[in-house]
Amino acid sequence: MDGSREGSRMVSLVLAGIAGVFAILQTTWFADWTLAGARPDFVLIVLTVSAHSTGVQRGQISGFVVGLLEDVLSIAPLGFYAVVRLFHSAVVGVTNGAVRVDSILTPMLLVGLATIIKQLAAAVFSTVIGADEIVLSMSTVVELGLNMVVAPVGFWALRPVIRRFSPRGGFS
Amino acid sequence: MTARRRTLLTTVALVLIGLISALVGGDVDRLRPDEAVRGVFAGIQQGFAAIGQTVGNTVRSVGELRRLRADFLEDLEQYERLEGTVESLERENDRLREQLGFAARTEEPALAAQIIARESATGFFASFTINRGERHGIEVDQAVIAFVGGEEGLVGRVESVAGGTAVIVPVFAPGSYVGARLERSRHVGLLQGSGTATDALTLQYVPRDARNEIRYGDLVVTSGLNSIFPSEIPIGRVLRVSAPSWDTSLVIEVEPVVDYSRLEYVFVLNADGRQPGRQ
Repeated sequence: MDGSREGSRMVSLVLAGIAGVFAILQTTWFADWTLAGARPDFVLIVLTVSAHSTGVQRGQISGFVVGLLEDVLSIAPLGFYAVVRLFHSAVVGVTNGAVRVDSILTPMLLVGLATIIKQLAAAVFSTVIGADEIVLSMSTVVELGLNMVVAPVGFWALRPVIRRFSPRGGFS
Repeated sequence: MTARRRTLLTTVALVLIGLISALVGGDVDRLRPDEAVRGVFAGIQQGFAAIGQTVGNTVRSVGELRRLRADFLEDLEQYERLEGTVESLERENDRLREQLGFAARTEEPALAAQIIARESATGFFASFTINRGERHGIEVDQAVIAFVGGEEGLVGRVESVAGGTAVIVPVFAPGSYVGARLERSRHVGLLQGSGTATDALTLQYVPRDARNEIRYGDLVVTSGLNSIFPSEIPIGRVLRVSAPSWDTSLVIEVEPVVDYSRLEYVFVLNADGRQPGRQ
């Protein structure tokens, strides 16, 4: 196995671990950090960084695994978050090698795209399984804004992880 | 097999796994792996909550110390810091006394519990996790109430129970329906969650001719009819009443009496409709 694939695997493993920790933190430490009923989805931001850095295949697997963890942490049907996280990670994974990340704009756009895909996937999937739980409200829009604002910081903070394990030494 | 085809196959396989799991998960009547894993992670959540509380208190103490250093002389600094700590403890003591007082006053057997995790802001399935579970006698579908700022109010019901933790579905969850009654006019209806903790609840199926009997601020309580919730538990107050021309009943917006974003402690009622003095 060459260094590039090994590095990519390590990046996805480490970032999936970080996303898992954030999944727990979002229900405990950050549970009260809300603005107009919404808060940034840190798990989504980490998974977006992971998917953009490692591609569709590793991105969607990371998303699925972290989503499973969120399923057991919540009362969602087992598999709900797994599929939702899989979808937004897979879509962002397509940009691997095709979109070069700058400091501010690209992270915002990638995370914005991931947030929209998350909401759409959740709405469709909840209809398919008859969960009848997904409500699109003002909080959804606020969350989109918060995610996009936090995105550049998230990409900047996770850049050392990419540099440490990826032979390319950063975002493509 | 090309990389693209492998990726596509992985996507389809994982989606199918997730879909099948979500569709059949609720009907499987045996030990579910997710329940077992949830028990483990609930312990981790409890640990994080405890650490968070400690760190939060520490950060607050540091902030307080800085403020005191700027405001007072150096020789009073230590005294002021201790005074601040005492005040903090007194506030906590008052809060706990209030909760204890409520527990002593309430007519139903009620078990106090602390909220250790909540999933509502960005999560699609609103829920609270409390630090009491099966081993403390908590069962699924028990009613959960809170006592905040001198007012008692309905929080929700127990959705699932693990060894030392339980998950509560709040009344504001979109799939949550509660049989409710307007306390003054005695009209009954069905209260539906709005999906977010900050929005008003909606009381439906109250007949249109009841409009003149309903006033702003009227208390809405649980009806106890065909419900797991005991009767007469306050839920909220009437915020707005509308009578859409296409609807045969009123649509009443209800502001919850409990501020869900500030909840720290709740009480799990020994529900099942058995509440002496409240039938």
